Order: sequence, then structure tokens, then C-alpha cells
Amino acid sequence: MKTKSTKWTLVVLLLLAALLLPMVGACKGAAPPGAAIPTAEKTVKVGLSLCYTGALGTHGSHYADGLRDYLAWVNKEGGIEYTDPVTRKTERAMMDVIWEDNAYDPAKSVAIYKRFKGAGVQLIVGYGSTPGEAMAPSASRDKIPVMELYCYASPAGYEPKPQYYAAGFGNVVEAYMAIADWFMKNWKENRPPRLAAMALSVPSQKTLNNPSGVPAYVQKAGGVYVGTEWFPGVVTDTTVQLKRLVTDGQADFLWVWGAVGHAIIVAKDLYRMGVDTNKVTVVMAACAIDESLAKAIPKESEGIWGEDYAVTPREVDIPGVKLAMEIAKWRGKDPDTYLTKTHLEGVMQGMIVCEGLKIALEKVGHNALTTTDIRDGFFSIKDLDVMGLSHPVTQRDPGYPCFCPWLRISRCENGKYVPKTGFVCYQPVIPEGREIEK
Amino acid sequence: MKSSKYYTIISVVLLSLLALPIVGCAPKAAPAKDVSVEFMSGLPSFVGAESVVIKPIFKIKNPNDYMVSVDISYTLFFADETLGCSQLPKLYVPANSEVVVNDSIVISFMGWFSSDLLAATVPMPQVLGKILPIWKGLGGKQPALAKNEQWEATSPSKVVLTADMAIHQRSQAGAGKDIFLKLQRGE
Repeated sequence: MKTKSTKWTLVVLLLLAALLLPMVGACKGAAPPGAAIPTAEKTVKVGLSLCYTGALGTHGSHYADGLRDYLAWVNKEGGIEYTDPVTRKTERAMMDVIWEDNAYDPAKSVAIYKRFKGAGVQLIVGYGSTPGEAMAPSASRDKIPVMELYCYASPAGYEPKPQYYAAGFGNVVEAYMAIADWFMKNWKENRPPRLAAMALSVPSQKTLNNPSGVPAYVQKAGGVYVGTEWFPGVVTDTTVQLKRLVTDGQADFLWVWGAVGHAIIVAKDLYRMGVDTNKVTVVMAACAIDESLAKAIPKESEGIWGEDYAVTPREVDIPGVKLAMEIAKWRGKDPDTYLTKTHLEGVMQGMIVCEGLKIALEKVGHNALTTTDIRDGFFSIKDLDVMGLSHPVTQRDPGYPCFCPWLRISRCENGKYVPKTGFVCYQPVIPEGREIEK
Repeated sequence: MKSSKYYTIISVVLLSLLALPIVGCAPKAAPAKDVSVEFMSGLPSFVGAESVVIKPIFKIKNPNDYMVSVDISYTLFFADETLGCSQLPKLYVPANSEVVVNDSIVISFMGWFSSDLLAATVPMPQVLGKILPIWKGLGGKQPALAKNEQWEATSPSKVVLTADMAIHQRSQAGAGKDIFLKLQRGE
């Protein structure tokens, strides 16, 4: 009897030892070579269609670096934090980011869209009105949200339904009128002011010529619209266009849309033609100006105005600027040379991306997340604090989305780019030129 | 009988107590070492008058005893000139092993010329004078913008490419890590 019970004890002991052995082995060191990389974490696949080369590459590359750096930073910090709607626990989701250069080319943009779709992206974030518009019909068909955040709205982008495409900045008429309104409020002479526009010739800007758009709104506001002139992507001289608008057309106000390089050409031509920037108000659109204009051509840029969607890196007390400097240092870059106003616009819009995803995740959780939920998340953004980089972000209308209708106006003075106003809001105008009913 | 059952129960309890610290020890990998990257070559795979295609080849070595995945983005430079940028597809590098990956960077003469012309404050002939030696050094053919005599008088630059690389490395060793490298071809 005693022997039997001893045997039984031995069997139990052997079984226990067998159970414990693998644990002892596991504790000794690393898992075996070829062990899988953990995939348990929650991810959202995001495609970035950016602009590093082409006519707007000099501007787009700064924006692209700002956006990519911010998203990488959020991942480094553990991902997007959200409250799961079922468990009410705090969870985190990482962004699996892939990106390509669209070179501001609609054909490349469509090819990138197809590759992103094939790769299973759940969200596309992009740069550029023209590349964005090219994706809008596919986005509606495939129900993949395309948030073209650094971009003007246009009929081509907003026509495809259901709406899965959104531009960051409203339409060109709104952008133009925001600056024109500011100019006309400060108009002192006893005659109607004469206003004009000049733009890089791309499809998304052609709405400037729509008779019921800018010309009608200028007239309604009490001004006279002189006209719109176009220049190509590679331009070495804009004298002809400036002569028509400023010398012959006697414009008091000129809005110029293009990249910083185009602004340099225009500013030099204005200077050579003897145009006094204290008498003619020349405003460079946001993508056509940053601090580099005043540094590169201090003499020719003196007195030229610019519009900003974000603050400049010189405003070092702003929390968002401090964060951007910290991210730049983490990336091994010198913040003094790496950061520009455009870079900060990229960082600011990175915050919009994370907020849109966070709202979607908090609504349905990670497992149930669909591309429609992500779109709805973006369309529900309200009072997003962008750490002082711009005015808080509220998406205004799911039928006519716009995330960043807030502009600030700055001026080149003594080789520096100096802010002159707080952030002012666009008045909503739908692309055909009719007002939205409030 | 009673006492042997008693001993058995005691043995099981004791063994369980002994095992407790071991059970709490989850499989844990050694802290991950950074992958290393070698910029093996950056030779042209196509040369024309309008574009040149550079084929950068990178060797990624994994010094760890387990597999890692890497997401790599890089910008290609010659001196301060940005020639292009790209993101490689996600790569999995086996334990204590290496993978070699090819990529393509298309450099359009007009794209490069226009961005330099627009970014700089110098006139067109000076921009051409700056770009042509590099273009010739890359093996590019005479672009339409360059006159015969200017092209013939241009000495090709010795093109030493550098890559500014951002790597996100992930493995079983825990949270991913970011590595930033500046590489020179042949280093």
C-alpha cells in the first residue's frame, strides 16, 4: 500500500516538473529565433499622399515633414489614446502610416490612391487641391475617407456623393474674400477699391474666374474686380500678368496663389516695376509665403503681406511650437533651420488626423471601426485645441466640410515676417457662389 | 494510507509554492539592438535627357536573436540638393541575418530645375550652371534646356549620394523604436 502511494506521489511530481520546465526555459532568455513580432496592438492604417516634388514641392515638403513627424511622434508616445465605448477602459491605437509623393500631379495621385486602397488603408490624408479632387470620385465609390487637409474645396471635389472627400480650407472664393474683406475694412479712399488675383494655373484655382464667385462677391462688398491672371508651374517672369493687373488695371489689392518660389518671382518683378507695396496691397496666399521669403529677398519682399493657417516657429512661447521643437530635436534636426510656418501647419493638421480617429474609436471601438466611422469622426470634430498653433478646430458642416477656416495676416518688415492680426474666419460660401443658409 | 495522501498533498502545495516565482516570469526577449543599414550603392538604372532613375540599394542587418520588422523612409541627397524621397515597403529581417532591398528614385530634370529655380534667388543660367555638372555626373544626357557648347564645357561632378533615413523598428522585445541615420553611399 505504501509503495502504491509513493508511486502516485512520484507521478504527480513528474507531471508538475514537466509543466514547470518550459516556464523555467522561457525565463532564461530570449524567445527562439524567428519568433513572431507581436501584432496584438490595435492599429489604423493611414495613407499619406504628400507633395515633395513638382511645382509645389518647395512648400509641400515642409508640410509633409511636419505631418509625418507629428504622427510618428504620437506613435512613439504610445498611439492615439481613447476610451473604449464598451469596456470604458482607456485604450491606445497606433497608426500604421504609409506615404507617397504625389508631385502635385492628378495622375500620380490616382495611382497612389489605388495602391493605398490595395494596401488596405482606412484613411487617406493628402496635400493639394488638384491631387485631392482626382481622388474624390473613387473615395465616394469605395467609401474610403480622403481628408485632403492642406487643400481648398472646389466643385470637382465636392460633387461626388456620398461625401467621403473633404478639403481643409473651404473654397478659393472664401479664402479670397476673407483677405479681401480685411482689406476693404481698412480702405480709406473715397472710391471703390480695385481688387485682382494671380494664381498658378491648376484646375482647382480656376473657380477664381467663376463670375458668380469672386467677381460677384467683390462687387457685393463694394469693390471692383479687375480680373485674374495665371502663370505656369515653371515661371521666370510675371511682368505681363502684373502689368495687366497692377499697371494697366490699377489694382489696389492683389492676391497671389502659388508656392514660395512663385512668390519670389512675383515680388522681384513688382520691385523691378517700381510698384509701391504701401500703395498696392499684395497678399501672398498661405502656400506662397513663409519666413523664408523675407529672409531670401528682404528688399523686394518689404511690405508684402501673407496669410497664415498657423503661427510661426518664432513664437516660441506657444505650446504647439514648443512641442514641434521637441519633435524636431527627437528627429535629430535643428529646430532653427528645420521648422517653418508651413511645417507647423503640418503639425497642426496632424492633430486633426489624430482627433478624427479618436472620435471614431470612441464611438465604435477598434474592432467595429469602419471607414465610414472614420469619416464621421472627422466630420464631428469640435473645439479641438491645437495647442495654440491656430484657432481651435471645429468642422463646420458634414455636407460641406471645412476644418481650418481661420486665417491670420502677417507682413514682411525689415527682413522678418511679422503677424499683424489675430485669426479671422472665412465667411462660408458654397462653390457656385451662393451663401449657405445658417 | 492517510499519511501518504497527506504527504502527497503537502508535496503538491510545496511544489506549487516553489513554482510561483517562475510562473510570474513571462517570456521576455533581451532589449532590442538597433538594426544597422549599409547604403550599398546608388547607381543609375536609367539615364535620359529628361529623367534619371537612381537605384539605391540598402543592406539591413539585424543583430538580434529574434526577427524584427522595419519601416524605412529616406531622402536622397547630393550635398545639399534633395534628389528625391521614398518609403520602402515593410521589411522583416530574420534573427542575426540581413536583407538587401532595392528602390527607385526618379529625378526629372525639369522638376529639379524648376524647384531650384523657384527656391533660389539666382537667375536661370546660374541654376543651370549648378545643376548641369551633377546631372552629367549622374549620367544624364544633354537636357533640352542646355545649349551644346554649355553642355560640352560642363565637367561632371563626382556624385556622392547621402541618405537621411528614418527607421521604425519593431520586434518581440516590446514597444517599437525609432532610429534616425545619415548614410553615405559605400559607408
